Amino acid sequence: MAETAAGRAGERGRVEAWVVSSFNLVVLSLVGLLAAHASGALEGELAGFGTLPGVAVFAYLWLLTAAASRWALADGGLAGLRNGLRGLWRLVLRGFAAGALIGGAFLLGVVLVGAVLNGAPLLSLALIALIGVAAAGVVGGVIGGLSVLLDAGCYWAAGRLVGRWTESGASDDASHAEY
Amino acid sequence: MSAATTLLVRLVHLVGMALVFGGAAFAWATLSAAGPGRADAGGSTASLGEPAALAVTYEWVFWATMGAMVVTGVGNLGALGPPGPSGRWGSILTAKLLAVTAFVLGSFVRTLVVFRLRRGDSTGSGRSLLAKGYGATAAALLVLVALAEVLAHG
Repeated sequence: MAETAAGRAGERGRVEAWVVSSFNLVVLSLVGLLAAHASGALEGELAGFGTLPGVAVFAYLWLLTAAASRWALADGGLAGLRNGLRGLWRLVLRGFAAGALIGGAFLLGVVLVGAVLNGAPLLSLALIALIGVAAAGVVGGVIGGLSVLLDAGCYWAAGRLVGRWTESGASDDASHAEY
Repeated sequence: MSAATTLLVRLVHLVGMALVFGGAAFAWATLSAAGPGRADAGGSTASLGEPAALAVTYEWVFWATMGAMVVTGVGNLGALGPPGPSGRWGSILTAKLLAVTAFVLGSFVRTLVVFRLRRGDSTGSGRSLLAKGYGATAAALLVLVALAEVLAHG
């Protein structure tokens, strides 16, 4: 019985991590697209990007986001937000760490593949990795923290919706019972 | 981009839209047919059961498809040659991107409602909330399809 409950919790954790990681990646992509389009840079950026490299980069980022979100949500998941500001702060910190990991690993992967394909010297590769990964880690961390705030806002909205709906359902039942 | 790649990208994008729209319409019809699902006469607050399983399956597929649609949507833009921010076509693209972003945010709230109901936050009345959520998803997708049609054909 305990095993069944643990299995259910594990399955819930997997679904939650999958949904949260996919949502954050999709929103980030859309915001990036909007910003690039509004600044007029979209045309130039897309022209220099092939279909296969684009799909590969997106899939790599998705994989990293899914793995990092699984780790970030492992300790209770979004339900931790019910613990008020303490729960939110805890998730924001985990989101920052997960985002930093994604940013660093993403840049490292892209630089490594680019260097292998273009035959870049080892020293310049190490230098780019050292400076770039640290910077990407900070940027990724900030994005990760902000993503948690967005997730928390949506979680709060969902809770309000369920609460109101349940209340209206209960009052309907009560009025039916009176008649 | 070669003609075959362009065709494949568009096919994935179209199939993705058919999947999320058809799934939302199916979930809406199934949950609506099952009735409002209020607490029974004894005041039972049974969990959602099968409707929740259907909803969770849809959410899995939905978010996988959304990821695929974003990447193929960018591929489509690359194949067509994206417009600048000004002009009619550019404005339609801005409107579509804003509408898709709003839709994705709303969809995430819907998914979190499913999670909350599954955790037992609600009585059986959650079933009608889910039905309305999937109905709204299907309706919003129709609006997005119309915007995409205008974007593609003017």
